Amino acid sequence: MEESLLIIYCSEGGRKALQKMSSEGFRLPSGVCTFELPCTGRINDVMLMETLQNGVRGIFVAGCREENCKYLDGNKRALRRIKRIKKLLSDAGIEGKHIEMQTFGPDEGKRLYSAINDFAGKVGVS
Amino acid sequence: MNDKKIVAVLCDHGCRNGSKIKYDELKTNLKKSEVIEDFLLVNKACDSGVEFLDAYKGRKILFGGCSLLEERGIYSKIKERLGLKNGEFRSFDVKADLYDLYPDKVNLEELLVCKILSMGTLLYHAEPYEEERIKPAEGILVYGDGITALRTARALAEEDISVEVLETGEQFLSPGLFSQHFGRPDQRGLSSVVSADERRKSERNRVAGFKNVRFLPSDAFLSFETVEDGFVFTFKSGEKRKFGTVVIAPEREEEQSRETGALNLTDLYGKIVCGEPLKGEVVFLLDYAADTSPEVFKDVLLAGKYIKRRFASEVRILMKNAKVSVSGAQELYDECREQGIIFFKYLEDLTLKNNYGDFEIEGTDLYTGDKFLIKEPDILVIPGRSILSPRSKNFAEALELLTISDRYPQPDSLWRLPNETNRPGVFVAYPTGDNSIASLLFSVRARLSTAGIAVNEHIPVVDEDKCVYCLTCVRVCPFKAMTTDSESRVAKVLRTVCQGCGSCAAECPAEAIQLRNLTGESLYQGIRALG
Ligand code: SF4
Ligand code: SF4
Repeated sequence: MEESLLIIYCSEGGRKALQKMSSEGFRLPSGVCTFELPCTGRINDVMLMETLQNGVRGIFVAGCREENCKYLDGNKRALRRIKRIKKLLSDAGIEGKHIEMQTFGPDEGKRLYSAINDFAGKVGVS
Repeated sequence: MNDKKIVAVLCDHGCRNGSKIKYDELKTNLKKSEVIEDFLLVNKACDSGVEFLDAYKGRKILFGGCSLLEERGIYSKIKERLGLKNGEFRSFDVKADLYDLYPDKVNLEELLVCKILSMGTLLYHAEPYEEERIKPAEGILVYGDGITALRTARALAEEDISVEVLETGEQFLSPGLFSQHFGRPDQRGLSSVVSADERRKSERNRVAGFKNVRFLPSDAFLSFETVEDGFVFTFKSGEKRKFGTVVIAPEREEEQSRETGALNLTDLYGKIVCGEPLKGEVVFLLDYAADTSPEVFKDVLLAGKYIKRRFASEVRILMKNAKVSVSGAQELYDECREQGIIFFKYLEDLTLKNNYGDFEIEGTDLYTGDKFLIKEPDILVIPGRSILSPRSKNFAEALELLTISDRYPQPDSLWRLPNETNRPGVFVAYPTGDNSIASLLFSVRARLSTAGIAVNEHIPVVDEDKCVYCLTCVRVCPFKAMTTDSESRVAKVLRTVCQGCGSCAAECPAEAIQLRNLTGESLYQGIRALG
């Protein structure tokens, strides 16, 4: 996992966006792994830290669009948590750029594609 | 923890990439892992029967194939044949979730190893479980005092469901007022106006005729508690009642006009019912303080048409964005135009001067670009925003339901039906539209289906020794599935309510919550296995 990037997506909007992305002909950069969760609301600091500790270069979280979480506000809670974790990380002298979360509608394949690529560029995985 | 190992199976149909897979390389790599016992490649699993798995009884199966396998029921056949419980079988869509995501030239074996190991690890840690279904308690509580509440009660009663109606004792004339209360046209072609009160009375008599409908005394309830099979209300009289399902038909009222001297639709309706003459120049100003909803626009058209015919008044309707999107509105709009009602679509620059009830409206017509000026109309109607009535609002607060302006929750969600609220088992009925009584019946039937409510696979398990009873989970749970238990002082999950989202597990500061078959440990290991 040394040079790799992990995409954690929710099995609702995130998954649909990912599939839309591939159906529109966009492909993931090599060195990107995917991991599915029922809802991004499950993500917490322990999980992200454990993952980063294992040598992943970056974690990109893709959830449902804000008003459209199947679980009402799992995505918003995750966004807030991740914002806090990023701050903790930068307080500890580690750049917060290694974690990012964005939300997507099921039709936003192209935006997901460019978001992943931008992120990959930022953390230096191509 | 159980020690059943995983047998991973991959369909090698040429759907896309299967046939290119280097089987031996894959198998060698997979068997290095301690969770994978064996790896099989099948050709066209969609056509090839499931007998080949007979040798693997007693193992857990992880199956990668395309969506056809699910559609053709192959997975259920496998589970049945091998006697696999829930938590002993998992599948993934190898095409959509893997092949399609990567460019053609990638190393497929590597990707497959990651995917299979990661999912295999999760499956390895999963506990087998029997699916559990819980039936909601009998009885439905319908909350509301309007026509919609009564009609809902009747619709349910007609389906042989016993209903209790908790009347609120407040009645408002909500949007849809004119569409609901204008009767059929008489000989002169004039619609008769039925008083809302009379209609309500006759509906109530009709409903009261059903044996399985009971009207509860409209005293407020003191407290409310969710239990696994429903909701327990304690009334002021001391009576405690449990209902499996709750339906709210919220009353909405129209906000008062902020312009002194202008009427809102409810005022206008009152004048019409009282038979006051509405002569002279009558102006409707829509989209003024807030956008006028299509429901209300239809009311305006009905009112305008009535006034024009009955009093031969000069009727003008000024609007910006109002749309004729409810059924029948387009025809009405055309009729109004034929009758000589004048419509203006105005631009942003509209101004309204109010000199103690003498109005002056100045604006620009969108189509012609001409300025118009309306001076001292005899009657100015500005429809108000509709808001939840005070009792409906209180009820929502008591049940911790989300509300959005004049509605109970329904954030525009793709995933949920328009009648659902953030509390499973509490539904909302409105007179028309997507969340009409018909769609409500659908939701209620689903809840009452003989099979009962299935307990989610990822239901949280609270560790009694770790829980510090901080109630974070109670606050966090979007569905109000976590409750307190003052005796044991351990948070308790209501199994019919939980949707398995994991928010509670993520936020519990004591790490006392683990989701069934998705524990923190299995997640970390599953992610680690990706490397
Ligand atoms: S958040 Fe955790 S510690 Fe707090 S009450 Fe819930 S289970 Fe117990
Ligand atoms: S998993 Fe989600 S729905 Fe279930 S109790 Fe926890 S927060 Fe509530």
